[in-house]
Amino acid sequence: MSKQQRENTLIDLKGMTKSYTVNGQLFSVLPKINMTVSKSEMVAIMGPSGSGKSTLLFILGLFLSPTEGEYLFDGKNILTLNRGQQAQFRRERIGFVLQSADMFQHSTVYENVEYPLIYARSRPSERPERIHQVLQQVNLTNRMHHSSNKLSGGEKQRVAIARAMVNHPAVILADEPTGQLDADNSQQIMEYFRSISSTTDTAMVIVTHDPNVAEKCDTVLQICNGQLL
Amino acid sequence: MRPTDLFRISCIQVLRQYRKNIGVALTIILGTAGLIVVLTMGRSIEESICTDLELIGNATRITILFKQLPTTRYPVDKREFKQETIDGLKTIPGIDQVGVIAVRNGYVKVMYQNNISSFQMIAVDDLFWKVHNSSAQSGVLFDQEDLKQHSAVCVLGQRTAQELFGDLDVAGQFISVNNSIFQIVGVLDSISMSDKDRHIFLPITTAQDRISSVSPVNKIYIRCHSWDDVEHVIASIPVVVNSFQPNDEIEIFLPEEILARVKAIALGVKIFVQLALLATLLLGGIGIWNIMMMSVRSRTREIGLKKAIGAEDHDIFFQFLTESLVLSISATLMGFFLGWGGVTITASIIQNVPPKDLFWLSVVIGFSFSLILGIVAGLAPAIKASRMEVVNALRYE
Ligand SMILES: Nc1ncnc2c1ncn2[C@@H]1O[C@H](COP(=O)(O)OP(=O)(O)O)[C@@H](O)[C@H]1O
Ligand SMILES: [Mg+2]
Repeated sequence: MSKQQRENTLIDLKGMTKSYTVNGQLFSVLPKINMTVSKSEMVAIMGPSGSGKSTLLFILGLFLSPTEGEYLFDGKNILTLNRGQQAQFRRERIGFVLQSADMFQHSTVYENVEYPLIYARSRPSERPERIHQVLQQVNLTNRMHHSSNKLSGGEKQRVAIARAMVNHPAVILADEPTGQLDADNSQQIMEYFRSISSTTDTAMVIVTHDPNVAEKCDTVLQICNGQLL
Repeated sequence: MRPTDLFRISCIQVLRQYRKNIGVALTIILGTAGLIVVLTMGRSIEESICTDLELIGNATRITILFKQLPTTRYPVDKREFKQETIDGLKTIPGIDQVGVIAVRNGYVKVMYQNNISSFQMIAVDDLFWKVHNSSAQSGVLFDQEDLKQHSAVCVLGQRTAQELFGDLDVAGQFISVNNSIFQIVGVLDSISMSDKDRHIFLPITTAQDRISSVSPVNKIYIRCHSWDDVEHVIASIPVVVNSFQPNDEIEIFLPEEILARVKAIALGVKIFVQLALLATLLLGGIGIWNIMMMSVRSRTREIGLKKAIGAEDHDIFFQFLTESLVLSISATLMGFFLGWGGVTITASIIQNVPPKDLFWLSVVIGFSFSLILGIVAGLAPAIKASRMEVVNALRYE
């Protein structure tokens, strides 16, 4: 790896292993994965159901600690962070998008996007502009004060994307973000990802089944029997 | 999380989920209002109930009279209570009033215009009214001044007035009693002495001057200050009497059974009210706890999502705790207003001024209680929620 490459590397996984003990039996989901993601790179992870895609993404987001392996984020080992530091890492460095596009109940679109700012203790006076900005990027400023539960699936996913990027993360982790959307909406969501990645230099790790989605990314990683191809 | 954000979001969430919270809120509102009314007005209500009960039962009224002689008719019974004895009785602690009465055996002839009838007459002092909790149905009852002046005035029982006049509004009229003219000052109410509504009442001083064969004071009524005083007053009476005149001829009457019954009723009411209050507040607490516990389960994904976007454990912890507190405290505040309304209404019913200091004391107690309630009920769910692992929450469907 050249020096320039190293400086450009955001995520560097080495020998990442995750195993679960089920009924006293150890069985491994991810045996010794190596993987890198560069800054502003869009990576698609594909693979059959149960192959460990979500597990990998949870490890990347520090939601799950690996059994073994090394995880460098922006050159720093982040597996040694304590609980509070992990939360801070999630607040400041990553954005997370789920398949089900979960919205906060009894809240408006605006309030949904405000939550990450609240947890980051951002100044209240700075919030409206920032929220407006990210909602503009997913074309939802006109729905800002609508209840988020009344939106369509595609719109909810766009709110989720805006929510994931409101704190200027270095990477957005998306677990099958188009899994519950039709082809048109999937297409649209991928275009938003693409435009965000190019305008903000945010890296994306997108787990998907859909070849059309993967096609839009810079790199496609196949995960099969726990091996990256 | 900034405290202002925490507070704002908790208020908004509690408000928006009012459907879920309304039952608990109502329980707390009613519990608090009840607590305030009972704490503030309890003493007054109790006094009012006791007064009412006494009015009916005269539970704290002790009667002292002379034992009957086998030959009371002839010659006329001349035994009397001396003025010193009466004054001595007044000094017993726990005594409110001492009223005296003298009777005349047989009837008096009362005449109004051409209407002549016979009625029982009793000669009483002004304290007699107080001892019996009596008031005038119309006009007034004669007072200390009338006694002193030996005024020629009288008070009629209701049936007496009805039979003579066919009317109760007869104050100011003149009648003749055994050929002496008396002016009617008022008619007695019917509750306090229903057994004496066909009587005519004269001031004892005037009666002794003008009506023949009126006995000296031969009966004393004592009104004790409270039920608790009755026992030691009874014990003191023979001792006090003995220091002025022989006490072996007197007899003391006390409505013991009524007193016991009245005491039991009052105690029952008190216990019932307090138990009901306790139950209400407890239910409110369990309600909050249950709602918060259920919401930890139903909000598992929300908790996971919040942690995924960077919420720390203490953010989640304080969110749950604050929601619980906001719910219990806002319900308590509404309870204060309802309670104040209740106090005002109760006060106007029993015709009493609501004691302000007691009200504020009960507000403080109610507030502390709801603070404790909110914390206790919210604590376990808050801890449970804050400790939840992100993966488990995100994988939870
Ligand atoms: N907590 C767990 N305990 C045991 N096995 C688990 C646990 N979580 C996930 N697994 C297993 O790990 C495997 C990979 O799961 P997952 O990462 O969700 O796959 P994917 O997202 O590719 O469908 C599955 O076989 C799943 O059953
Ligand atoms: Mg998955």
